[in-house]
Amino acid sequence: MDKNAQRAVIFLDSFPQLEYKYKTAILNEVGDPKNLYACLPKYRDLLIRAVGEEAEEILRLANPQGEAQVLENLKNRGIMPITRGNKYYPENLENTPAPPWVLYAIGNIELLKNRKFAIVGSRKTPQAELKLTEEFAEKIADCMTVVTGVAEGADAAAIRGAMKKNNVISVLAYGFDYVYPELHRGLLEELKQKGLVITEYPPSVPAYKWQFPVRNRIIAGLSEGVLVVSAREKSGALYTASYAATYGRDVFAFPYKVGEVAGKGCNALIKQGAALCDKAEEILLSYGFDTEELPPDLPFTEEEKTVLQLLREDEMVIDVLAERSSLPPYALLAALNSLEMNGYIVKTGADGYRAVK
Amino acid sequence: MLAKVYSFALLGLEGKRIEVETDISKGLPAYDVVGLPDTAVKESRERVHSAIKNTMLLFPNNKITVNLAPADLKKEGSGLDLAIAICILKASGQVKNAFEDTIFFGELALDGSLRPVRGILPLLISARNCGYKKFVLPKGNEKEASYLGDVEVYAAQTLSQTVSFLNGEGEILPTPQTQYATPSVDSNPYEADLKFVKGQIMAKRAIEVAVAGGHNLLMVGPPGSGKTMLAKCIPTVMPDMTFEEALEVTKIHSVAGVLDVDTGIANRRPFRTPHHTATTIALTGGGTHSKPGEISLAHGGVLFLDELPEYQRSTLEALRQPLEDRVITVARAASTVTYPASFMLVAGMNPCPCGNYGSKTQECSCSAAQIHKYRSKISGPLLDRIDIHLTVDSVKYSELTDKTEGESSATVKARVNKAREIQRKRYEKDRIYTNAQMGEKHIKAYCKLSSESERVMERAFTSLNLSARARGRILKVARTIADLAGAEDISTAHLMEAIGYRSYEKNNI
Repeated sequence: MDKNAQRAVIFLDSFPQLEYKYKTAILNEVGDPKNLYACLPKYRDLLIRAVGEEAEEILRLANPQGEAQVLENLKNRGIMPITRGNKYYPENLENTPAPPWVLYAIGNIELLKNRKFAIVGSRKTPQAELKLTEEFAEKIADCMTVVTGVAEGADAAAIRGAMKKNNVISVLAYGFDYVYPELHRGLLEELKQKGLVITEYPPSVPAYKWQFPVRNRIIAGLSEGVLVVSAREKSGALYTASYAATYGRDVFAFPYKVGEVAGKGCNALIKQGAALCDKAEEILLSYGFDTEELPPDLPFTEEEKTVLQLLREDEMVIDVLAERSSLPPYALLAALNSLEMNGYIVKTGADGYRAVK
Repeated sequence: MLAKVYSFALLGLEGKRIEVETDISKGLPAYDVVGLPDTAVKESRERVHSAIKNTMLLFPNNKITVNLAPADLKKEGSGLDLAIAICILKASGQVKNAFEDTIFFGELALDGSLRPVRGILPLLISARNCGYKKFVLPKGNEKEASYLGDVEVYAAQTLSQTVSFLNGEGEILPTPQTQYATPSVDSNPYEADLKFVKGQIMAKRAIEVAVAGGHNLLMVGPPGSGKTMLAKCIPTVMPDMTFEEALEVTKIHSVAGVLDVDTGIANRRPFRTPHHTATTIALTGGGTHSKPGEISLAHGGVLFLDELPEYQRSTLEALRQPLEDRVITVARAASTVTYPASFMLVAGMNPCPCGNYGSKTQECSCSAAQIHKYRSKISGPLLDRIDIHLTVDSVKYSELTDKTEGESSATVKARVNKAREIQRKRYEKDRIYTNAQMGEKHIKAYCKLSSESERVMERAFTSLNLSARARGRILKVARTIADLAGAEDISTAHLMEAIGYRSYEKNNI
């Protein structure tokens, strides 16, 4: 599509009342979008069926002036519209059954050209898995761009990790005029500076509940694979995984203990054939990145060795650890913090620890 | 006839000399008290009248005027009753000697017996500083007054006993001085003891570090995880109070009227737990009489604020200045008073509104926004003044039934005393006493890190999402841990442990 055609698509996309299927129908009928304004009156009946009285408004604005207005509006807000056929529009997404006509973006759009990997999960991800998510995201961001949403819990952890490498794309389920969750207003601003935020919705669309699973098709579509870090029996993350499977992308999932509510969805995915994932290096290897596990920053002390050995046997609370290692409290605390900082163990609650390496 | 008797009245923690003057002149029977008396002092008229009558002495049937000088100082409380009664009796010739060098304190009951008054210790100290050595006061205040040296204290039961003593007809033996006894190292005057706390080794260690360095402490944990029990153990590991400290605490408690009459001196470190509905004034002090608040009553001890986010925000913010200055100045229209307020702040809170966030056994039903809102009720500047943040969890059943006893408070206290001694020596020239009081300048001078430790610190910042403010706090705590170990320099292990008490970062939900 040339520039003019792209501008016409952006104009048509700026009416959120016009559903995807009607938009697609009109653009397919018109053929070359350049002819949109000339042809649009022919589809008056279709428009009325789609949006009712608003149709007249669309027809009134359907001219180069109306189009200029829409583009001016986006430009003023610093939003970059990327249409299908644009050099930045990701090929991966184009190859899905329902690619969005326009992606509205703020931030570093060069990231769209990178290879991408999605990390998703529930808002109520356990503490230990949050920590792991952050760590995985940071490692993956060394090689691939991390794609995720912007919710609390897993999304935020993935963002925190990947943002350290300025290599993260967040996909919103609403327009840029809105912020959801309110809690992440600051995080979103930071993302616009250090990474990229995209959405298929024009700025004026609020965050409706049903748009979130629809948005998940974009997360899956952009990425070569999806890692589900946590999911209950019913979870939005499972939509992302099922889109990914349908699009022929890889699905990875963290394993959980039998009966753990926060991970029932993950275990179900593994049962269905998703790859069990416990090392970021393995994910990267399957995409051809041969990364080596870094040796720990510090050599292990005797105390650390003892503690790690005990934790490798089983998850333990600190009081049990103290009894079994017979270490004095100060030595035990120093060893635990050192191991945690070096990523060998994670906290599982107020005073529980689990070995992860 | 005119007569004069001296007493002292409280203004904050100071006593001011009051001259009680009585004039009995001919005229219609009348009885007036002038000289800015408050209600309790005005009402002394009736008490004095009945007490004199019921003591089988004569209440003059003339025009009586009692003046309390200086006339521009507001006098409060019932402690002037005895002085007024003696003065009337003196003016009417029933008490014969002059007694210009004797100070009288005491509230009168209608039957003529003497009731104890509050603030005896500060009053006596002020009077002694003015050169007075002889005191007559109620029996109920005897114990408290007996700790003061270099004074003659006569404790009387009744007005009639006082009068016969003054007239040389009866005898009251001067109260012998009580020596302040520091409790011996092994004895524990508190009900709580660390050895009764099962498990919780991390919390116990955190308490040791907090007390050793004078750090404030925040405990985060679900209901029933033992926050209150742990907090109650804190005074048991604090260094014993010196006599000077005890006197200071006693003064405050005496003025507030919460002193234990039987011991007469505050020999245990205070542990104050104001409820979260407490008003700002209740905490900081104030009211018409500028009484000391909870933070002054906790002077030298522990102020425990359970359910921290439930306190009114303005109330918590009012703590910031006294936490820094260690005194509180209460200004009221009538008077401006400064009270000492050097306390250790120990706060408890739930991790989220439902209390189950982070728990392995219970599911948390709060949304991230709710948790965020709950935690942000505590302002950053207040959190900055709390060096040690600690998460506690409920103790498992198997640990509760564990028969082995942990370390006793006395053992921990011995280590704390040693660490405090090191700090006292180090800060001799810096006019601070503990690691918690270190400013930027001191941190630079006393918390040098080796290059290896510097690397650990850097790593901690990136891998644990620490805020920049956390650095100073971690260094101070690391210094204390090194002092506990008797080490000159902060080692990597010390730093590692300090990082464990890291700030309870709000954004990691």
